[in-house]
Amino acid sequence: MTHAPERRTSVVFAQVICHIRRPRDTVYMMAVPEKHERSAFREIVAEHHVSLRAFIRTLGVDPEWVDDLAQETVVIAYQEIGRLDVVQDLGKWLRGVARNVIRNETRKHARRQRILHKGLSELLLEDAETGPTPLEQSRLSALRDCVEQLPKRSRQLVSGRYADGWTAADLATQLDMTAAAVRQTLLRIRNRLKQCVETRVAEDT
Amino acid sequence: MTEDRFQDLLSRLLDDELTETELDELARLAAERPERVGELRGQLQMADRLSQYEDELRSEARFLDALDARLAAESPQDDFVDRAVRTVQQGDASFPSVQVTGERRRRLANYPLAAGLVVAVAAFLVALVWNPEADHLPPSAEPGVAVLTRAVDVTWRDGQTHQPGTIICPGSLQLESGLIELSFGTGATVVIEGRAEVNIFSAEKLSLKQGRLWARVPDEARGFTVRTPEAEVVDLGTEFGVLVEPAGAAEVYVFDGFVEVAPGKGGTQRFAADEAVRVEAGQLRAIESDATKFARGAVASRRVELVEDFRQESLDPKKWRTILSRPQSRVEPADGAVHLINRSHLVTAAQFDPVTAGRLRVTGTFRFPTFGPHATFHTLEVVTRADGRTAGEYFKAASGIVFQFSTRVPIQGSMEGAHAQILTAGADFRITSPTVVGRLAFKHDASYRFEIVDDGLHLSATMTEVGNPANRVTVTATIVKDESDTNHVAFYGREQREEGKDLVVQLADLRITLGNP
Repeated sequence: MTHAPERRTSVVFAQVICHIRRPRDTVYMMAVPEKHERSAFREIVAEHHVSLRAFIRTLGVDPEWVDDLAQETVVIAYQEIGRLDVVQDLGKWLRGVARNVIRNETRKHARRQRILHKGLSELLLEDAETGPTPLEQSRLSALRDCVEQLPKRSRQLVSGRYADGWTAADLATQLDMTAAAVRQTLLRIRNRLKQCVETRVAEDT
Repeated sequence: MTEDRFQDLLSRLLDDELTETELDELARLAAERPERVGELRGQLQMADRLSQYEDELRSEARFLDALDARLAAESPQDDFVDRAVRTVQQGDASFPSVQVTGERRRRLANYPLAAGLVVAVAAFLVALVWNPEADHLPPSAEPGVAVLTRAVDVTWRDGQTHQPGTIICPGSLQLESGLIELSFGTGATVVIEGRAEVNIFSAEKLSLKQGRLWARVPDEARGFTVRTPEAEVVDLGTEFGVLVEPAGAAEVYVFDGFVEVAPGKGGTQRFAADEAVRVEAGQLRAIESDATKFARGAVASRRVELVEDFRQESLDPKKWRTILSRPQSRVEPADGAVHLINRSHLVTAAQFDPVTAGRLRVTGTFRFPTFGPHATFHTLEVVTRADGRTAGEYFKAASGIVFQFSTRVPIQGSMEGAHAQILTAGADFRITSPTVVGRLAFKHDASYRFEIVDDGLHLSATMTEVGNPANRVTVTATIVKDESDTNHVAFYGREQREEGKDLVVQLADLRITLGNP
């Protein structure tokens, strides 16, 4: 099947609209007006942004810049998607684009980097390519269920840390704990939540 | 031993801060064992998911809106309608109509046409042909020209119904009663009050056969035209109101900028802000300002409501109340400024209600004098429509619209460099996702000027570096739900520093004005 080059993107997005209504990440053909392309793309991103942002964080990106780099990744993906014939797995493909974006970041002058540490990011990038696939669960609903079941004190730590942005040292003062104890507890909470989410996802599928 | 050290560095990476040397060490220790890299990735992933779940600034809607702005910047074609529809439709299912209650509902219905009216007439003539017979509507297969962004107590005529979020195509709109707001692709905002009969020709032109219409037209949309049976009103980048009586006579009120009024016979005349004219039987006649035509009462010019230079040794209790949330909280006037120390609130004794009295503007300057390596996170929050109470374990404002200025970039991506944000506190309010214009390079030792506008519907917050006006950022949003009836203005230093040291937000030159310019 051939298309005039300027229509190419449009046709791919037509496929993409279909994609989001299908259970699996396989792309189908369907004709839709060009003007819906971007909103269709937004719907796709809505499916993938949670995992994508978390994935970018696992590459050693400065937390303050995670969303920025995720957006950059999506913009590149939006521009590139027209060149693809069929996209089999959009999540995987977005992660590939993200790896390139972050790899590029490790090559920048240190002061302009949006990563925490060059060596750390290089290590994490390598592991992301060869290591096991991350938790791909696309929504936060399982996490929500798990977080809301945490004991009160743990819940308090989680919201202090993540909703209000306090560091462990801040939280230690407020909760009359040592900073080390706060950090240990948060490590344990995250492990526990990871297990909880994995169990729930496994139960659902 | 190294395992303990790895765990310690890992946990500090996630929840505190690491030095460059410690990061080197962490990378080295992680590289020693693949399972350490795996644990690092697992922890980072969960940390980020938790932050996405908990941090309102990282919500899906905000992320997608920021992404949208970025994609829009990459592809210049106009998808205004799509964007506006999304803005309107986002949020939960309870959104579809504007939620207002009781007293507020009545006042809101009176809001749009209620801008300042003082009349004098200046006139000069330009010949222009006006042919009322030329009224005809383009076919409705045209693309949409506007989005219905609000509808308050509307009864439609002829069985029409349009929900907020509906794309408005060229054609006729007939309201028996109530109020609607249309946002045009050109940037113009139009509020129509029933009973009204409107024909929309395009994004630039409509006719009003009967009813009241208020329009705010940005410079880019100059030329926006309202036809009435007696005259054609052409906007020259402004804010104006048009009232058409059932018999066809029209009155035009200019609130800002200029409009041209072209009667059916005779020449075009130009009117400036605070002027008004009646058009009847082809004749133009200057009319007196008659604020009682509009339910809100006239506010002819900007009224200064509260000015504070903090030159007194103590705060004037007639003007201010303070809330000291913690034993270490203080509010201290300090030689032409006030220090909000460790989560303290400064709240106006008076109330400033933008819904009944028009535009609320709050300006001032601030700086973060205690900013340093151990206290990088400073935030000033200015709250309009505050109830003067605090809530939660961090003693934030309990209810109101929160304009936040922070050392921390609240939203990244196209919001990068924003440092300013608009949020809501309490369940009484809901706003659209904020949009950011400009980019601020934050300097910790600079002073910033802030300007907040809450006109009852549209919100904006601007943060400008003092002495460097190019370094600024503006955030805007629109109110979609308002069930509150308190209207204090509050200033809140959001953070508290540990170990007995103070965290200070310094405020100066406060000015609160209420009423349309």
